[in-house]
Amino acid sequence: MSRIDLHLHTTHSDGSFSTRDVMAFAKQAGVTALAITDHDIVEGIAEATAIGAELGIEVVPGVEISSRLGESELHILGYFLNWTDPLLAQRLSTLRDSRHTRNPKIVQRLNELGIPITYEQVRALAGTESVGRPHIARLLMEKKFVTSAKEAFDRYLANGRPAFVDRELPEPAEAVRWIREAGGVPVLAHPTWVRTSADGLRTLVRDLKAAGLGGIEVHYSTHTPSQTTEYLELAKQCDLLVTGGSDFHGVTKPDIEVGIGRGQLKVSEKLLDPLRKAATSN
Amino acid sequence: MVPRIVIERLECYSRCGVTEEERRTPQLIAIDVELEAAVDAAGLSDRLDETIDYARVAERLVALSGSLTCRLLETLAEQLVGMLFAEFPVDRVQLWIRKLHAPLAMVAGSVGVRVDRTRTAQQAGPSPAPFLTQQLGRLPKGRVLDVAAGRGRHALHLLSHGMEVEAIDRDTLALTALKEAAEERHLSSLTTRVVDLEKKPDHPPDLGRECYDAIVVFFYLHRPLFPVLVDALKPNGILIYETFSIENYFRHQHPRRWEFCLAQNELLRLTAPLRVLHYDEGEHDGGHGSGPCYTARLVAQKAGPDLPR
Repeated sequence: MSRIDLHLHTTHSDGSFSTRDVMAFAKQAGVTALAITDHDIVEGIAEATAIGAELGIEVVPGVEISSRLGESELHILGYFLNWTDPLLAQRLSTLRDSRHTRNPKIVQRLNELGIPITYEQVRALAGTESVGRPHIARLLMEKKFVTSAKEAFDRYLANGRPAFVDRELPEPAEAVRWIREAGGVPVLAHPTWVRTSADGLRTLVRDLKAAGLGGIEVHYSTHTPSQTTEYLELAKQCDLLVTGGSDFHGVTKPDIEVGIGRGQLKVSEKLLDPLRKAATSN
Repeated sequence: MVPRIVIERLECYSRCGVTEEERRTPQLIAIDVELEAAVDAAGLSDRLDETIDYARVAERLVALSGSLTCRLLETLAEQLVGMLFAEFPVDRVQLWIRKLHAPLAMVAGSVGVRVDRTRTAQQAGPSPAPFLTQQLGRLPKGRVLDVAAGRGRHALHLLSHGMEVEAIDRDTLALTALKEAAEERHLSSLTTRVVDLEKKPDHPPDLGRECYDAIVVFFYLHRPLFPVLVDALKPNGILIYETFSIENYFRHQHPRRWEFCLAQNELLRLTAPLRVLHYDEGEHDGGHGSGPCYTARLVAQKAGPDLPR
């Protein structure tokens, strides 16, 4: 039985490999269908589809939308959406801009704290990648203000630290709605990252289901077997679809491989058809 | 008498020539080779595995000639000689390689090159990556750091061009071999230091501040090291870097782990504080003697007082 991978990042967002390279990894791992789910962007899907035709891999149009849940971020995956939808494009573009206005603000806070870096330096470091806090962390390392990326976050960048700046993000239910309105199936990404109790997660999932949530990413690189069982049960209880993916990013998460995560991940292709059906019945 | 194995006029096809046309269409070459065996064990034991299997030699010569694309017959000859020493128990290789139908109007016979090499000479002079020899002119005279130097094919080359070289590696034996090779060639301005750059994965050791005129890194990648390298360069100092790109992993399954390969443009990002003087990605001769590989190659310079801003 072959495997699929419905959670992958490329250089269109914060992955280190191009779409073509990510798909070459997929081919090598025996992946027969995949979704490129870059953060808040769908621009890579056309290229992925063309490469998929060449390699014999089905490409599911996908995206991973950032939303705000209290103090932290919650990610909503979208599948089989109409990625050429102009309203979706405009919404995602605004969302990406919020990232761009945020980073200069972080640099400004750091300047106020007596750390003389410029936003241009951060951009130069990011090169063709879209600028994110990891790049600011790397610059702080290079300039010897900290000795590791972790220290950069712990001292300055993390939520609650002096250089933390919030992004303007949609509510999770709003992100779910955006995906529905673009004809896609919204799926709660990596529940392991949702900082809440089991009951809190169940309440959240029920609320989001009411807003249009279609599935849960049950299979994930860093889910333990007991977590997988727990989320599988939750999906069953709430009558939600099951999806899975590696969340491959490349060199920033070198222990995670396309299609096989940390070695244990195997997402069945049988999960694909229910997802497809759910999208067409939108 | 030392036993010899002689293969005469081994004919095969090779893509070798200065013009693109010559490299596109394989042309007939002839290889004559004379090998001196390392030991006379087989003469006494009559066992094939202790001698040099000439059928295998011929097979390897044909395979390697057919798989390489190069401009000069000299390059092809070096690769073949390197392969023979690496794969067979020989002490001396005499090789004559020629184009049987060279595109030269006034030549009725063949044109070619002869190489006569002993194992000692071969081991003392492992060839550096061609990228280093091409870019050597950019290096300021002075102190060079060779990172993950191994047995020092690049360090030796730099020493022979009058540089002062500090070679670091975690392999004590390799550095000892390098020191011996340098002494044999009367190259004295070498220092070696055993350093494990990956001992603490996220905290590479300090390599000093502004103490090298140049740093060279070949076929090694440890991403957290880049800020340390930038720090260690003097103002106006030069970094020369070449290592495998992800393309090599896909095409040759080497290195075994993809994280030891560079993503597209990644080397540019990792060296972002430096000014790029040269950058390319593609299929290159890495000087390993094992044919071309996919690499990213960079020459970059640290800002200094003399640089226009």
